[in-house]
Amino acid sequence: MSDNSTELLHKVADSEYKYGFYTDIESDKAKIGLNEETVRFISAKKNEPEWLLEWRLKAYNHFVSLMESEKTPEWAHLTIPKIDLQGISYYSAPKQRPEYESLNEVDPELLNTFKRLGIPVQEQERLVGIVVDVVMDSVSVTTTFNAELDKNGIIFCSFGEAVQKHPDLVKKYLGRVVPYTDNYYAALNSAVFSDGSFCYIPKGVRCPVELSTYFRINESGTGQFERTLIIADEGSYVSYLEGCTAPQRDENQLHAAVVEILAMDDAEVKYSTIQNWYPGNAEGVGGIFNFVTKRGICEGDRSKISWTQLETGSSITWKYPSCILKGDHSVGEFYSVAFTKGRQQADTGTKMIHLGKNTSSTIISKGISAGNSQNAYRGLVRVNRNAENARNFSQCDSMLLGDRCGAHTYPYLEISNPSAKVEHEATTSKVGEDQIFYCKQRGISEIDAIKLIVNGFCKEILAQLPMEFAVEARNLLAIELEGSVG
Amino acid sequence: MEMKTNESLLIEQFDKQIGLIASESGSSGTNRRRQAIKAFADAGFPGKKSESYKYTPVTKWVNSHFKNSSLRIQTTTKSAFEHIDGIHLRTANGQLISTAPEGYGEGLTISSLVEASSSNSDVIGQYLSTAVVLERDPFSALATAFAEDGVFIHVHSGVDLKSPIVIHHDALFENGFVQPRILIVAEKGSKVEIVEHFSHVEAGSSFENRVVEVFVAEEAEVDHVAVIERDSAALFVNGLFVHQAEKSKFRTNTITLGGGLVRNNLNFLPDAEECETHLHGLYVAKGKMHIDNHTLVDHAKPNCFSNEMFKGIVTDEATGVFNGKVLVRQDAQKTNAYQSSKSIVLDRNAQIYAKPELEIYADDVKCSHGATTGELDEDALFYLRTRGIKPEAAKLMLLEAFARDVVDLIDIDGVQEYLYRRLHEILTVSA
Repeated sequence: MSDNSTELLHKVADSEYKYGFYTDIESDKAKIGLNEETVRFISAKKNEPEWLLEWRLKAYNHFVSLMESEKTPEWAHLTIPKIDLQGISYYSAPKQRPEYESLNEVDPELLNTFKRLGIPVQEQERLVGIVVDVVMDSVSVTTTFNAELDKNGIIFCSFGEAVQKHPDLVKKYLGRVVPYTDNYYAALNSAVFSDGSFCYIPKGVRCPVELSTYFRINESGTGQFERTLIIADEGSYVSYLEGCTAPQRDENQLHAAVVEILAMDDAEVKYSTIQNWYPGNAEGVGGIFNFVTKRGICEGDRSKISWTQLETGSSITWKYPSCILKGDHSVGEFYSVAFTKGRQQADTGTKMIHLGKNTSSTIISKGISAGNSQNAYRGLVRVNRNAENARNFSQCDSMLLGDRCGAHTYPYLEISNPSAKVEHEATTSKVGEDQIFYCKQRGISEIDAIKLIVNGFCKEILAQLPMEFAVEARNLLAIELEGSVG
Repeated sequence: MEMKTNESLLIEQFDKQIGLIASESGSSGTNRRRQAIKAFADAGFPGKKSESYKYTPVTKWVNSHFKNSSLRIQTTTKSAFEHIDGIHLRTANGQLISTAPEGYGEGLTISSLVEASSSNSDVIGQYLSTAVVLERDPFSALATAFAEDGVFIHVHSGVDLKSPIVIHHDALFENGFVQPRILIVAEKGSKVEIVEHFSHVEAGSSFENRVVEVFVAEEAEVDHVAVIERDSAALFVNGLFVHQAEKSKFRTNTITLGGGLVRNNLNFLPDAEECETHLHGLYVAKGKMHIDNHTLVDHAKPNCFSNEMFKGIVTDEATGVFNGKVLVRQDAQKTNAYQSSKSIVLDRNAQIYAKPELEIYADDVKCSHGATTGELDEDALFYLRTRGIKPEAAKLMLLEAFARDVVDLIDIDGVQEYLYRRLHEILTVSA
């Protein structure tokens, strides 16, 4: 690669985080530290029923046993600094908490934040088709388009509201896909989750709008423990969008979310994420630790769950959106682009667990690493003994934009049924000099050529995102690549 | 001596035989063995939590009762490769029992390791136990600690051995626990082919834990074939460590057709520019066999090429494991590394675990891997049926063709023919 492009890549890798600022909104915090009292405080603060408090306490006790035996997950290709769980405040809610009828009533400071982020909250009235349930720190602040959703019997609200208004549904499904015993961070989340989103699509309903939640980490020193539960009843369809960005902090912020999805017979859930948490400065200080457990179960026959993600932020990403294909003829999909630069570390991928008959899954993962970053794909395809005619196709491509970064692929294939057809392929390469030469020959500048090539590399994934998101994703990727050059 | 292969007993035994405390008079070889027992003591036998033994539980196996023995028992078994024109060697309990054949000419030294340590002390001092990475595998560390003797093959500089060296690893002491060692040094510009055969010997629940070290000097070429056909009660751990110098070529073909639990730990270090490494492997697992191929190609230097292909057929209640890792270090620019793993599952009680890994720290590289698992191609079966071929025969034909892709890469006719015949026998029952 020529010096020119090397210099360019350095600039890209050194580019500052664009969305780093801090909104000054008063918040109502829990005392710093993790103990049974913290769990009780959160539960009381949220006015939760007894059974939920009990569930939280069970999770807490399990977490304590894991913590005492030091069972932090260490298998990932990540260097995780010791996290002081006693130095975090586990609950923070914005003090002003009115229910808004229109956006005009919202705290102007908040609106200003969104404006600077480029989140189209104000455009919502024009952009019919998006309902935004904004999560500022941990509590839902605004929900719109409820009327439209109500008409169809769709429930889309904050988790806390769902606990109050639809306790039966929450009780029935909470922890069904991700039990509190699932892993270290899921146990922590189950004990101290503050809020999140809840979504129920009734039988036969095709959700007319794309449901969208913007998550933000705002308060300094607050861990974010979101919990999302999506239930798609028989024959329903929903497309769910999640996007996030966070203000610049010098202190590491822990984010351990849990997302659970259930799809009944003939239901389809499409879950798209753009993740752009603060990645830390050039030395990797101050970025978000993003330890997320996302899992969906295709409970019913012919159901489908599709995960699409664009991961560009966080200093450490530990995330494996997975599908359990329990229903016959069920389908699981995972499309991912992970871009790391600076000192970012990402270990992300998926698990496809084939249990039902005639199930199929597709995994397409694209990793781009630059600077001093480490980017790993880790995925499991498991075909159980009775999963007749299971089909999987996996493709994991990596691209390296620099000679000090790493790209790794760790696929696990576990096959126990002879009728399974499982294919995995992976390649690693850099942006070809010949490709850049060809573009330059056609009068395309080097930066544009790199953008073009990287965009082409990720095209398959970005095409999976809903329209609004796809545009945002492409811009984000371009900004990430461009850095200070653009 | 009857013993349990329990970690602390093994360490105690080492202390009695050699002494855990370093003495000033100790040779560098003894000190290396002390390092090895320390590495083993730190790691212990791999348990359930071990990532590299994730799919291969060894606890039950290593806890059985074995007899420690390095007796050179005589054997009269006929060897499958006897008719091959080459230099034939024979081991029993892992120790060389045939005297070096006469008339193999100049430029080749074959002896036991003990003999070589006095007659070839400089070569032994330079190479023995230097390729093995003690921390990588506790079994290799254990074998390094206990290895007392083994086979030494030294091909002198510029020598092209036209005919292969065939090693028959025949007899095993009943319920024996042996830890043999082989050191192969191919000097600059030399060329050698080595064929190893582990024939079926009914020695009860034997435990063979071996380490083979191969040093391929500049511009040298080593071609290696191992055919493993041990008994279904046998635990066989095969540690191969290959070190390559500039412009050298190394090729191995590891064919596993027998054994209760077989773990092939194949490690390659192309440690200079322009090396070529080819790793091929085939396994057929039936009954309750458990075959695990664990490979690591450690690209440490630029401009090297590696190509890996493993194929496996599992049936009955057998388990097949493939864990291949290609590591490209930061300075290993212009590396081309390919890896492919294909497996066929024939029975619903059989299992395949594949974990093909790429770990890459250099940007100007071309690396890829592919892994497939499935049953036989329905279209191909249908085609053969339309030609009037019975289903069983069609199935056999396809399975043999699948397996022969690997066997065809061996260029010694005698070995190839033998494997064709054996595959036909084994697969006829499965098809």
